[in-house]
Order: sequence, then C-alpha cells, then structure tokens
Amino acid sequence: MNKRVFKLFFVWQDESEEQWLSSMAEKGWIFKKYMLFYYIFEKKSPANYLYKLDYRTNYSNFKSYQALFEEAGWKYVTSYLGWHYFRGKKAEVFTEELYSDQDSLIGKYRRVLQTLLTVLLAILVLNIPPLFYVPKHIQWYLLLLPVLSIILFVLAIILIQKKIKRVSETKML
Amino acid sequence: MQKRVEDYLPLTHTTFYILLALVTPLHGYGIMQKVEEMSDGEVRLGPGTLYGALSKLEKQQLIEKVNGGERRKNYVLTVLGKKVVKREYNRLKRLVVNSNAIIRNLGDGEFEQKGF
Repeated sequence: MNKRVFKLFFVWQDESEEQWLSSMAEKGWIFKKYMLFYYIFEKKSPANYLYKLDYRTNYSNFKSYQALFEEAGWKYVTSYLGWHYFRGKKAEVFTEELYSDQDSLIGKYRRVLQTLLTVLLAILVLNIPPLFYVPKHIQWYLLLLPVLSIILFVLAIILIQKKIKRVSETKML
Repeated sequence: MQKRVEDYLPLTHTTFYILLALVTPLHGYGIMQKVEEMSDGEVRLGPGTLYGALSKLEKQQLIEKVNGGERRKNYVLTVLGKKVVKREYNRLKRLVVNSNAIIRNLGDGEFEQKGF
C-alpha cells in the first residue's frame, strides 16, 4: 500500500526533512519518491532509519556516486532536482553523517547557494522585459508571482548563508 | 600555467589521509577503512566527503583510476600525488622539529602522556 503526503519543506530545512522521513519510517511508512511537495510512502513494518540528503548536480558517473554511498552503508532512495535521498541503519552505516569534515559540508551548502543564485538571476533577467512592454494597469498581476519568488529566493540565500556560517563555527575535524 | 607541488599545500586532514591511503590501489570503502585504521579511529570519512575529495583529487591529477569496474572504482596515487604527499609530510615534520624544543620547555604534562 502506498500513500501520498503533501508536505512543504524549504531548501534550508533539509535537516528537518531528514528527521521527518525518519519519524515516518518509525510508523512503518517508508519513503520512496518525491514529486513537487508530495512524498510517496510505502507501508511496511516500522523501521529505525536515518535519512540523509546530499546535494550535487555534477558527477562524472552517477552509478559510482551511488556505489560509494552503498559501500558506506547508505541505500540510495531517490533524487529530485539535485537532491539525493539516502537511508541507512544506525548500526550499519560507517558514519551517521554524510559529511565528516567542515570543508566538505560547507561545500554542500555552497553548491545549493550556487543554484539559488543562478535561478534568482534567471528570474530577474526574464522579468525585466515585461516591465517595459506591459501596460501599467496589468503589470501588478503579472509581477506578483515573480516578486514573491524573488523574495523567497532571497530569503533562501540568506538562510543558507547563515547555515554555512553556523557550520564554519561548529567544531569538526 | 603549470602548478607547482607547493601550490597544493597545505592539505586538509581528510585529504592528507586519503592520499596516504592511496599508496596502494583502493576503492571507496577500502579507503574509509584504511584511513580509520591509520588515524587510530580518529578519522571516519563520510561518503559525501570522500566522494567530493576523490573527484577533486582526480581533477587535480593527484590520483587516478585503475582497473575498476563501472560502479566500483579503484584509485591510486599519481607521480604528482606522491610528490605532494611527501612535500606535505616534510612541511609538517619541519614544523614539529622546529617547535620541538620550545614545546618541551613549556613543561605541559600532555607531552609525556602522548608518548613523545
């Protein structure tokens, strides 16, 4: 039996998302797939799974990326727009975190930041022409969505930067 | 412009151990185990960290792939990689040697405890 759950996590809430997926697994709902705010779960027996999200958009070979995580005890679940979901059991994973040093964890959030900045730039560029060609009285409607998304992206960029700062102040290896 | 050996230094903790582990060809999990063993359990590499480090080191041509399958890749140090790891060792050794007398005179108990 499958079920579909609507749930909204923002890009800066990756850790909350991981915890939520674990708590669903404890109730026997095993995460299978993500599609635009919807999480697909499969009913199985309750399990204690750790879930971790990695973010990476370029790799020379996806299979060897997956294989490396599997060797370390992490089962690949699914991917969505550069986010890769892995699950593992506490007793079976080599490390409970995907990143074991500060530099590489910061690297993950820098890659997220890079994508956010690129998309933000694209939204800005695409929305400049309408400002000139569209009659004033309908401009407002047309710009509502872009303005909201720009606010959201700026917020995301600020919060990811905060996260990077927090990681760099945490004592790791 | 050709990069000099010094341009790769200093190495991070993680990178230094990974390069040391690759004096003989190893695949991902083999590297994790060897690094853990070499560091007396201090350094346990996460897969995200290791994947990123291997990609970067391969791009820098400090390591290269050898006789692996499509999924499970074996890596080994290149000639440049060997030079870099040796240079880093010498740099660290010089720091330790040069500071040795001063640190000894500080008379901290930790010195003896760690078995120096």
